[in-house]
Amino acid sequence: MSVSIETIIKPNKKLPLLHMVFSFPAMLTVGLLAIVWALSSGKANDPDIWWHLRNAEYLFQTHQLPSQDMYSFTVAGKDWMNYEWLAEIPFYLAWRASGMVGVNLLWMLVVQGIFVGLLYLSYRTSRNFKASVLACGFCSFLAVVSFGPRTILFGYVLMILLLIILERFRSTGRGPLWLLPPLFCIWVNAHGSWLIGLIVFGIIGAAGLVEGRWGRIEGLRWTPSQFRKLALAGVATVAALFINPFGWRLVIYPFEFAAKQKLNVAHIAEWVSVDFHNTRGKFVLVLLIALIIAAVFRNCTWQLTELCLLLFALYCGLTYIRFLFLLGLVAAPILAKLLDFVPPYDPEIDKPILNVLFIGGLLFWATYSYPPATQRTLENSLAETYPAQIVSYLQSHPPNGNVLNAYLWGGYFIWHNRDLKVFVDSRVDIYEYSGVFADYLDLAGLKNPEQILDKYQIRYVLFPPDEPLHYLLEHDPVWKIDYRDEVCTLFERTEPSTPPLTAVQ
Amino acid sequence: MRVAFSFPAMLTVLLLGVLWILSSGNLNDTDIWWHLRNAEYLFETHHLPSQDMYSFTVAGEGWMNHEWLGEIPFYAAWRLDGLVGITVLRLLLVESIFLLLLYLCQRSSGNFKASILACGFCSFLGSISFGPRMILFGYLYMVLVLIVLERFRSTGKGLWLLPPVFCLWVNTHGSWVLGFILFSVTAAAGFVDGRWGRVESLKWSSQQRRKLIAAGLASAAALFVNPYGWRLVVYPIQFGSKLKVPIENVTEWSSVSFHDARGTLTILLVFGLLLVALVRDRRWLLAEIAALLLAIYFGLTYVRFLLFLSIIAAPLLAKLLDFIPSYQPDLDKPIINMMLMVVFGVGVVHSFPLMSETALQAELAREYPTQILPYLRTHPPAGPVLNQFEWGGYLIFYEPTMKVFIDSRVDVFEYAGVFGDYLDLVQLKNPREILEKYGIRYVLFPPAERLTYILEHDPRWKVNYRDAVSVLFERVAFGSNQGT
Repeated sequence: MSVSIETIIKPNKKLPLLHMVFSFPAMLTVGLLAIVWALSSGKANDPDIWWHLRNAEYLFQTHQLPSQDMYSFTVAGKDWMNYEWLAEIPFYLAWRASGMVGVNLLWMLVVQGIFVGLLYLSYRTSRNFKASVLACGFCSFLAVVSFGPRTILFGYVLMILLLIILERFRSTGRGPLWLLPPLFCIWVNAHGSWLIGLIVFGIIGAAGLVEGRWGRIEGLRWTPSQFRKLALAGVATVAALFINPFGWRLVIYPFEFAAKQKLNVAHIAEWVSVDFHNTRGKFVLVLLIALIIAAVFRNCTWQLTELCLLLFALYCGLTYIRFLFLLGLVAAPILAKLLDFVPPYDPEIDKPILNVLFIGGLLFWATYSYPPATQRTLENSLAETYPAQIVSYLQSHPPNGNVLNAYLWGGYFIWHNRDLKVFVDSRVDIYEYSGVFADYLDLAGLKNPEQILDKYQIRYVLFPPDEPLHYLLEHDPVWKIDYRDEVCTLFERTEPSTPPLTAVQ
Repeated sequence: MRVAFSFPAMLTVLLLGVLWILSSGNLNDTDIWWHLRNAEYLFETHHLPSQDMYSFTVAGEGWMNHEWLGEIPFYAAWRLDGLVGITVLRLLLVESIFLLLLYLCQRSSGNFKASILACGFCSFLGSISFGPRMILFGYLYMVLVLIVLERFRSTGKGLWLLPPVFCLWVNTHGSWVLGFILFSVTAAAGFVDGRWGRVESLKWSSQQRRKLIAAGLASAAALFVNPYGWRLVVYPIQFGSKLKVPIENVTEWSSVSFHDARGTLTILLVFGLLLVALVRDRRWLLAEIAALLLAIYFGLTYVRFLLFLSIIAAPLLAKLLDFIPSYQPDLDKPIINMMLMVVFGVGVVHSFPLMSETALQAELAREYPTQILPYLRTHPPAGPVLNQFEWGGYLIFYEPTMKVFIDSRVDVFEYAGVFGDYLDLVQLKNPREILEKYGIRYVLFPPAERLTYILEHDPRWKVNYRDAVSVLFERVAFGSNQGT
C-alpha cells in the first residue's frame, strides 16, 4: 500500500491541486524543510570534501580510480583504496556545474531529500502527519552533526530508502525487496555505512523470527513466503556487495576500520561520545527521557523490530556522535507513533489562505535569514577556517622542502594547491597504518617534536596560531616565519635538521 | 548463628567484598590534602579559615570552607593511622552507603536476592566516587533521606530525622541540594492522586502532608545552622551558575564517556530500565520515576553523579528484578554459606589486601611529586612557584611552607581569574605573559606536559631538579625580551 499526499490530506476524496499545495500538511512540510534549511546554513566546512573532489577529478580525467596515495609525501605510493568513490562523483559534478555553490546546494538538497523520506516513513508508521512533522523536526536537531558536504549523506539517503522498503514489506507483506541488492551495491561503493544498513536489515529480518507479546512489546513472525523472500533478498544483497572495483577488500574495509583504526576513533571529533553539556547532548537527553516517560506513561504497543532498532541506534548514537543522524532516522517514526495524542489533521477545518500566508512567511524567513550561499560568501566562510590566503603565496613561493601541515588543512591543499605534497590529511586510514597519524598527534602534543620533524625532514610548518606547536616554533631560533595571516603561519627551518636526513617514503 | 551464616548474610558479604575490591588502591584524590590541612588548622586554632592561606595567587581573598564537617573524620583518621586510616574510613563509608542502600532495596522490593543484584550492579556504576572524598558523606546522607522517606511512606513515621540530617549535610557537602530536591519531588508527587499508564501516585493524607510540610520547613531552617549562614546555603547555586570553567575543564564534571566500561554500564542501565518498563507489568510510583529521570539527567551529564544515579536506580532495579525467586530460609544451608563467606572473605582480603602506609605512599609517589619534597625543604624556592593543578593540595599538606599557584579549590581560583590563566598556560596561550604577570620564578610540572617541553627548550629556564614524576624549573633570566 502506497501513501500519496492526497491520502494524507483526505483518504477518500480528491482535492483540487491548489488546495493540496496550500494545505496544512503542505505548510507543515515547508516548516520542517525550513528548519532543516536553517540548520544546514553555514555548514560548508568539511575537511574531507577536498580530497573527494580531487579523487573524482582524477577519475574523470584518467577513467581510473587511484590505487595508491598521490597527495602526500609521507605515504606517497602506498596502497590506498578510494572506498567512497561513487559518492564523490555527484559532488564533483556539482562543483563542475557551479563551484562551491553547486557542492553546497547538492548536500543541502540531499539533506532535504532525506527528511522528506523520513517524513514519509514517519507518516506511514504513525498515520499522524502533525506528529510526524514534530518528530522529524526534533530529530533534525540530532542529525545536524552530519550536515555538510559529506559522502555519508548518501549513506543516509540509502538508509532511509532501506527503512521505507522494509517498512512497506513488513506492513503490507509486499514491497520492492528486489531493490535491496542494487541499493546495497550502490551503498558499498558510496560509503562504509552500508554495514550499518546490513545490520538494520539483519535486525528487522531477525525480529520477525519470533512471535509473541511481552508486556507492551509485540513480535510478529514473518510468513514462510515473506521469510523466503527476505532470505533471498539478503543473500542477493550480500552478493551485490562484491560488485565494486576493489572486490572483497572494500567489503571488509568497515571491519578493518573498526579493528585497526584505533587512533582515528580516539582522536577524531566525530567519533567521540555524546557530550551532554552542549545543545546536541541536551536533545539526546530529552529523547532518552521522553522514551522512558513514554514507556511508563503510555499504553502504546512497541514492535519488537522498532525497539531493537532503537536500542541499536541509541547505542551507536550515544557512543559515536557521527551516528546521531542514524538515531534521528530510527527514532523519528517511533516518536511519531508515541505522539499519537496529537490530534490528526482534519481537512474540514483547513484554511488554505492562512496556509499560503504561513508558507510565504516561512519561505521568506528561511531565505532572508539564511540566504543561499554565493561563491563569495562560501569562500569567505572557508577562509575563516582554511588557509585560503596563503595559497597564492605558496604558488608564487613554492616550498623548497617538506611541509608539515595541520591535519584539517590537508584536503584543502590537495584540492587548492596541487603542487604541494601534504604531510597528512583527513584520509586517516593510510596515515594511521603507516604511523604518520601517531607521529602527527605526538607533534601536535609536543611529544618529541624535534625528533619527529627531523624524521620527516620537515623544512616548513604550516599551522594555525593557537596550536602549541606554533608557539614552540615561534620561540625557536631554528625557525623563522615566512608568512603569517590570521588563520595560518608558515615557518621555515633556518638550520638543517640535526641528525642525517632519512627519507621516509 | 543461623542468621549470621544465612544465605542473605553470605550474599551481603559477597557485595561487601565487591565493594572492597572496587575501593582498593583508589587513594588518588586531589582534594583530600587541602581538606586535611583545613581540619588541621581547625584543630590547632579552633577556627575555620575565612580566607585563602595556601596560595600566593589568591592569598587573603575571602574563601569559605564549605565542607568543613566532612574534613574532621578524615583528619581524625589520618591522625590515628595516617594514609591507612584514611583508606579505612573511605572503605567504611562506601560499605556503609551500600549496606544502607541494600536495606532500602530490601524494604522497597522485599526480595533480598534482587536487592543484592541491583546493589552489585550499581556499585560498579558508582565506583567513580570511591576515593577519599567528602561527597561520600553526602551520599550517605542521601541514602538516609531516602530510607526516612520510604519509611514515612509506608509507616507515616520518622520524618523528625530529616532536619538534623540536612543540618549535618549542609556543613559537609554541597550535594545537600540534591537531597532537598529528592525530598521535594517525593513530597510533591504525593499531592496528586492518579494513574497514568504504569505510573501511579498516591495522595498523602492530610496528616502526612502536615508532617511533610513541617519537616520541609524545619529542614530548610536547619540548613542555616552553619558557621557561614546564608552564604553556605546559596553556595551550591552560586557554584552551578558561576563556575563554568571548572565544569568545562575538570574531569569529574564531564559527561559520561560511552567508550569506557563505565559508559557501557550506564547504557546497560538505561536500556535495562527502558526494556523493563515495557516488558514488566508493574506499577511505578510517580516520585520514583521523577527521581530516576532527575538522576539520569545528572548522571549522564556529570560523571561525578553516577553514584547518585546508582542510589536512585538500585531500589527500582531491585523491584523490577522481582522475578528472581525470593529467599527461602527452609532451603538454607548455613554450613555452605559459612564456607563460601570464609573463602570469599579470605580471597578478597588476600588478593586485595589493605595497603600499608609504605605501599600507599609508594602509590602516591607515582602520581604526586613526593620525591621532590626533601629537595624543596633543603632548597626552599626563593620566589613564586607555578605548580600543576592536581598537585596543589598535595603540596599544601606536605610542604606547608610553600605557597602554591593553584590547587583544586577551584572556586576561589576561578573567581580571581587564576584558573583561566592556568588553563591558558597549559594550553600555551601567551604563557610568557602569564608567567610574567605572576612573577613566576619556579615551575613544578610533570615531564610529559607541553609547558615542560617549552621550558626545557627555553634558555631562560634551567632545570633544578628532575625525577620520573616532576621537573622543577628555575628562571635564570628576567624580562620579557630576554632569551629566545
